[in-house]
Amino acid sequence: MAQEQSALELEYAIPPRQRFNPLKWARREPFGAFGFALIIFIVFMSAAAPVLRTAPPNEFAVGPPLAGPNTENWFGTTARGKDVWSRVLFAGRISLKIGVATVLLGTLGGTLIALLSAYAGGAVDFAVGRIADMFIAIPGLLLALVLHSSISADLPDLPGLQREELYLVVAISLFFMPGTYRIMRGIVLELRESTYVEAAQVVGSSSFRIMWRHIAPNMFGLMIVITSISLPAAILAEASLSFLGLGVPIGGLDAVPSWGADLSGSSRRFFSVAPWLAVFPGLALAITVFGFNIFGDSLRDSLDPRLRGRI
Amino acid sequence: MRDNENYWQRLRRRPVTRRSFLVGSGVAAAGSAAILAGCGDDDDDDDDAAAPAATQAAAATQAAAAATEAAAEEQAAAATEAAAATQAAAQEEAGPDKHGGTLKLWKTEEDAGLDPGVFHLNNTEVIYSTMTQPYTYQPTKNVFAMDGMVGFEQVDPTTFVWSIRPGMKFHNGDPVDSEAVAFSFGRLEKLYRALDGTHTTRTGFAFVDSFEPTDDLTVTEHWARPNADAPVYRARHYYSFLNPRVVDEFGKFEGSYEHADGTVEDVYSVQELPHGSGSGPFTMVKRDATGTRLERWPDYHKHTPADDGFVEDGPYIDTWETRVIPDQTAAKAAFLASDLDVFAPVDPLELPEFDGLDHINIVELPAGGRSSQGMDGGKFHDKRARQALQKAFDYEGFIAAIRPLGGKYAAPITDLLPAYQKLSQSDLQQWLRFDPAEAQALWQAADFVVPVDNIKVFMPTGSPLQHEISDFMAQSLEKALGPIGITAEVEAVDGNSWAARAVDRSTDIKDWEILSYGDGAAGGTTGVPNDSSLIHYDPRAYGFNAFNHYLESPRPEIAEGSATIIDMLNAQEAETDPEARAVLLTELQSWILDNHWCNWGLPISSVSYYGFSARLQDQGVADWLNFYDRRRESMWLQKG
Repeated sequence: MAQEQSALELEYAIPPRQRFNPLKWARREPFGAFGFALIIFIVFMSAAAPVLRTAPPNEFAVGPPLAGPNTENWFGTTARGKDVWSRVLFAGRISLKIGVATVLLGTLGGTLIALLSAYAGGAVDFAVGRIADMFIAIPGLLLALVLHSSISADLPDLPGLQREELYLVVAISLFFMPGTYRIMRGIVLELRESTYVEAAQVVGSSSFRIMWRHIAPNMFGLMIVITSISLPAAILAEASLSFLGLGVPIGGLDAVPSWGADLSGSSRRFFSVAPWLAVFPGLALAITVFGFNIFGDSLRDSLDPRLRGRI
Repeated sequence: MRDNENYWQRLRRRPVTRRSFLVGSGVAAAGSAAILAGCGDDDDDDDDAAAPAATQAAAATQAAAAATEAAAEEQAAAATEAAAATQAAAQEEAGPDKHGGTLKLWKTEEDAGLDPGVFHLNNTEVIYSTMTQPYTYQPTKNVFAMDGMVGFEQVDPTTFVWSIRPGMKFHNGDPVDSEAVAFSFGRLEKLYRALDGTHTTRTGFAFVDSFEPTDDLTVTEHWARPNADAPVYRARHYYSFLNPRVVDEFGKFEGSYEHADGTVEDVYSVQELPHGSGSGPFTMVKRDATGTRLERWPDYHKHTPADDGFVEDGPYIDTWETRVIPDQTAAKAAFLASDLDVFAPVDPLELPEFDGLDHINIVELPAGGRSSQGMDGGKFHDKRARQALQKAFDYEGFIAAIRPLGGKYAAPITDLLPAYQKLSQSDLQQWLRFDPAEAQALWQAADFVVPVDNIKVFMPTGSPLQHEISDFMAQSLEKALGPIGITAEVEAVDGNSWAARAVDRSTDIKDWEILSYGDGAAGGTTGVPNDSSLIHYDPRAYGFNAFNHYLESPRPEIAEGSATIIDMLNAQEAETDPEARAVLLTELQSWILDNHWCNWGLPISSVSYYGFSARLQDQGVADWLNFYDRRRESMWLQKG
């Protein structure tokens, strides 16, 4: 009897939580670890830009016009003598800033709306679902253009986020939010019907408590996955909008270089005679997106056993 | 067993995974980029420090500017002669078989209206080609080439008589007679009044009292005061012949005009330019967001004898196609691919890209461009504030950065009119001198009715170089005035929105501080000092509607300055002796610079380059500087 009881205890015992071992994870997911290293590298280079730069990024005529990579200007100069190396370093800041802010707003916003609407169900869920459909139906670029002409002038400057940056965050978030909502809504509908939620309802837990304590924690893993996968797309969206001239401020001492903006504007006229104008910002953008992509992919494999990587 | 597998074992068993795909693509992209980077200019011979490089560039630029200035006239003459010789040779070779076909052009934005009497951007290719003007005027040759008129006579200092070309018809068959011509000219002032001065071409007709049809083919005009430029103004696009019947039928009500006798007349515009509006060599068959298409009108009147640029039987070219290409780089790509016949301006730095291309001719021309910075008189009413702005701008640094292959200081009147522009580069440098300390002192001493602590440089998109210029301006102002708490920023919007906000008269102050326009890379002149570019300082023109420098200004010093400059503008316009007029114009320019009036020109490029397709013949290079290229009916296209 005692032996049976001990076998049962062993079968139903909650296994001890395994501690996360980064080295073990890196061995299992070497490309994910490589992606993470790339992200750390980009973050470091962007953070250390004021130290690593060889000239102020917006300063004109720090070298001869269209000079190729040389000992003074490692990545060459633009047609107006701006230092490409320094611009590439500083541009990483805006890409990461906009990318992270966008994904946080888009993912958190989409998740929260999904949680509230799907749990409430009925008319609320229906209405929110149709609004999401509407946003999904509008092409992202068109939405960004409409927002630029309608709200960008009225947005405030926030601490650490200028008006133009806030516009980018809002425009790109609105693009991501409906997709996140769709995925998260499915999870909430599934969790709402689970036994432990029913049990919580039976014992009289409030809706807020059920959402906060029983449903939300189970969405967390997927949220991380969505975040890591959305981030490179957000960085590319920032680059695309800056490429179209809808990005960060373009002039003045405080103007922020952006990889997307540097791949457009006056530089494009000189790509064939000065390829370094395209190569270095493009390479930086590609490395960042690549890093986030493979890191996100590995994270997805690690956190979601149902989505193990085959395409 | 599976639990003991490591990653590599699992990988070997796998088909293509998303991750493998990503990794493969990433490695391929990075490798390609690295190879491309390796192909760049690796020349490290130039190991000068950054600052000396800039100084060297500035010195080289100054030298180039000096040399260019000295040789400007020679170059212009040589370029014209060379072009003429080439064209003559080409014509001789081609013989009489001058091919028509489609001439392919581009512009950065669609037009916002086509009525020749209302000022709009991006519309002259339609107006010049579908309508008839009295004639064209080429200042480089001082030639009037007759078009809709066959002659004109100045009967006395304030009376002008026009003889209209007989046999002309509008595209709907209506005759072009003196009634139509007098109507077309007379409506300019009425439209100006009806639209409350929102268009700025008034200097070309403000001196006129009336236009009267004398007989079927004669129009007499009476002036309130003499005007030395009157004949040249008549070549401008707004003096196009417009069919009054079309305006009656399709016109849109714009407002009312009160005559001197108290009678009130309704005023109409035709922004769509319906069929039958014009009598020019082409009719418009397409106009939308992608561009315009003009096709040769078979019943076009003969020019007998044909003056310079015209041919007896109408234009050789069958179709003019103008595409809207907002992006200059895309336009350049189309030009390189033989999909456009003209590309201008070509940046001197990109000239190597055109080397060795047989299908393209790059022509060097003297530069008459303009890079203007208008100041809002509602805010900068105290001249010390305007002077502070001008002292806060680093002119030499600007030339080194923006005009690295040659730049020169710009006077209020273009150097392309040497008979009138007599200020030397050293004269101009006395006024246009970078001095941050003085700028700060002047700013602090200046009176501001509206406090200014941030300077917004407001510019139109379209020219990437314009972005660089505005960026430089904002940086220079902030560096010089930053120590006293002034910041600067750039705002860029599309051209039509920019123009609307530039001339918005809803309040006495603008929602920007500096209006930046013109990249100074290339440009020409109609031959009139007002057009090039006194109109930018005129309190009855841009000075009024764009820069709040006008006679009725609530700021007394602006009103007083406006009265003074209007007197000076009128005096020089009335002076018909060129030498005496040059003296008056020098005084006028000095006054503008002494008073930092309204607007200031940044250094411009000392040379400009135009790209033409090799198939385009007899394009009359000078006409592209005079804006009458659209009226050059003798242009033709080589076959093949």
